[in-house]
Amino acid sequence: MAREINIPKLGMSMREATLVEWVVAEGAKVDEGQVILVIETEKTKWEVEAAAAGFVHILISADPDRKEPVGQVVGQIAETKDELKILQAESPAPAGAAQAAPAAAKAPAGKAAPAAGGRASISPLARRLAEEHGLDPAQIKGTGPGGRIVKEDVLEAIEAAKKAPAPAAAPAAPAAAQEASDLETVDGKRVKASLSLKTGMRGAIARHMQGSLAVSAQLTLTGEIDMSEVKRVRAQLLKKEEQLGVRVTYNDIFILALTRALKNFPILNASVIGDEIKVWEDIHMGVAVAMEGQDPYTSGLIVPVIRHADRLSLVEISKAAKELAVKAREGKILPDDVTGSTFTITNLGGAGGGYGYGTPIINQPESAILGTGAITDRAVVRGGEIVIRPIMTYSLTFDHRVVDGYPATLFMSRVTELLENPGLML
Amino acid sequence: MLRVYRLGLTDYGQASRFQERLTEARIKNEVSDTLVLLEHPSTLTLGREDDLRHLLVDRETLTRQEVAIEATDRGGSITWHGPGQVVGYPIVDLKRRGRDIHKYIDDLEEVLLWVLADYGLSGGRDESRVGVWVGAEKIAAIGVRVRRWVTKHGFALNVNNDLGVFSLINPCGITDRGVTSMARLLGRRLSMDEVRDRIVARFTEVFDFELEVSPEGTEG
Repeated sequence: MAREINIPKLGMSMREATLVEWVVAEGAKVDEGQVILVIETEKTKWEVEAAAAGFVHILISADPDRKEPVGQVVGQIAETKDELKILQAESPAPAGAAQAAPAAAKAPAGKAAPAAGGRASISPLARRLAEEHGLDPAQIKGTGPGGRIVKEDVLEAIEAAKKAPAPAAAPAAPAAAQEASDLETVDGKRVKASLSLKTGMRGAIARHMQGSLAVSAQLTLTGEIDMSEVKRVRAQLLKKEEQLGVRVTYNDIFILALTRALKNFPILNASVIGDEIKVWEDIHMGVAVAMEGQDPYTSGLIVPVIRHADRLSLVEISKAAKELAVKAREGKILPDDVTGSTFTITNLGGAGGGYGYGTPIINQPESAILGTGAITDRAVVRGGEIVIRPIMTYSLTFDHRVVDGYPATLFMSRVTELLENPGLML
Repeated sequence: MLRVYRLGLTDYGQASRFQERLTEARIKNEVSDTLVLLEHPSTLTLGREDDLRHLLVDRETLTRQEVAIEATDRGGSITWHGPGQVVGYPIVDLKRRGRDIHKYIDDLEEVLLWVLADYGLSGGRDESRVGVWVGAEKIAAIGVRVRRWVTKHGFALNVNNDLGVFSLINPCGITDRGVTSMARLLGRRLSMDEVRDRIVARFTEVFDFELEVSPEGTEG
């Protein structure tokens, strides 16, 4: 009985592989465990060994530019020479695969018809679709070339499955009890979910934050800014929203003030590179944007960059920020959109935390980050009187290797001055 | 248990034979999982037969610049190795690690991403291409071969090396993105020993190894 040679599944997420090289020729006699084929997936070459002793019959020739799905039958191992001849007659080996084989072997290079009794050929897209819907490709009828299962076939099968009567529901066990007993337990505590700290956005954030704390000397300065004037200006801008073509946010106004203040205090717009502090001429503002996490438990974070923000007007800043935020949320951000910032602003007030402070972590390789809190009505003293004013808190984290407390304080005084007297930014 | 060999500057062919012996021994379970760290003399290595099309200069130019060419049996396409680049060859038995070569590649990337983070560099993956990137530029290449679930070949991280040599080729067959190094991004040359220490530390962490004291002397 002939054995099939399949593309093995070498990982959970593996779907396809390239046939790099048939190590043996058509009809070659092989021993069990002998390497007969090399395939490649994700820059890894894998040596496929003969599952049994016999004679190799090649069905699909090696082609470094084509991918075959996992499970695809690419060859067979016949037990005897006679069986080999039968297999060769049933489905001839592709041209070129067979120096040692009879000259009769002639088939269109590449595509081989599905072997008799073998698993059906299926396109990678169709396979993925089938897996996602829990369908067994062997149960799907292929209508593509040579009976290959294509996307349409799977879609049809999905529809058919929907129409089929649902299996009778199992008697409802006490759901909570059932679930509780299934939960993993670690140190006597039950686990609701296990999330990877290594992969995806969580991994990127973890490395970036831990790396930042590891390489710099960070400390945070906090204070309050009276937002009465900014509020008034913003109210006016909102009235002109249609004319401006954009809804200006508080964050946009902060970015305007920051870029102007950074012009006065360039040391806050600097990076440590090697043994030097590079004070940047260009001002590229990173704007932290919260995103939905990959699971129900965590959030995500991305920092798109507004380039040359100091050269932009408030409306231009507003438009650029919105565009980047939309791109970020739609997952259309490019590497260039999130690299090269020289200072970062993060809005901590948006989540409704009320009056409060934080200690943001510097977005490396920058030397400072400003966190802004919510704007809340507070009792403050003006001219010897207690009055109610809209107050915003801020938290400026800076790298003490680069900036001392004095210039950091002067910088925030300038930002405060600009926000309390927006006319200065005209 | 992980064994670490630090071989220093080693000829590519010599290192290949050493790897081959280690892989054979690992398959027979005669040695534990092993990480070989070394540097190669300037060498272009080819992952597939038609890789020479990614060579942008003629052979004479290579000879003049003292760049060797070696065919290899690893995955991936053409790349360059040379002094100042940390090359790591993990000989790891994946049978004990869930038999998943994609996860293995992912873990190798993870080790390198953490090493970069140790230096304040924020690297990333490209969903569609194996390797480690900073921004749009490639900083580390990965190419592996697996036999009976035991790995060989591995990764190459650009630390202090000359990047000019990459202009002789389309590295990994990629024509639209550049390469970079840690030294270029950090603006200073790094201690290779320190980088290797970080790699060993992060490797043992990501792969959850207990470290065995490095064997004395070097082989090859």
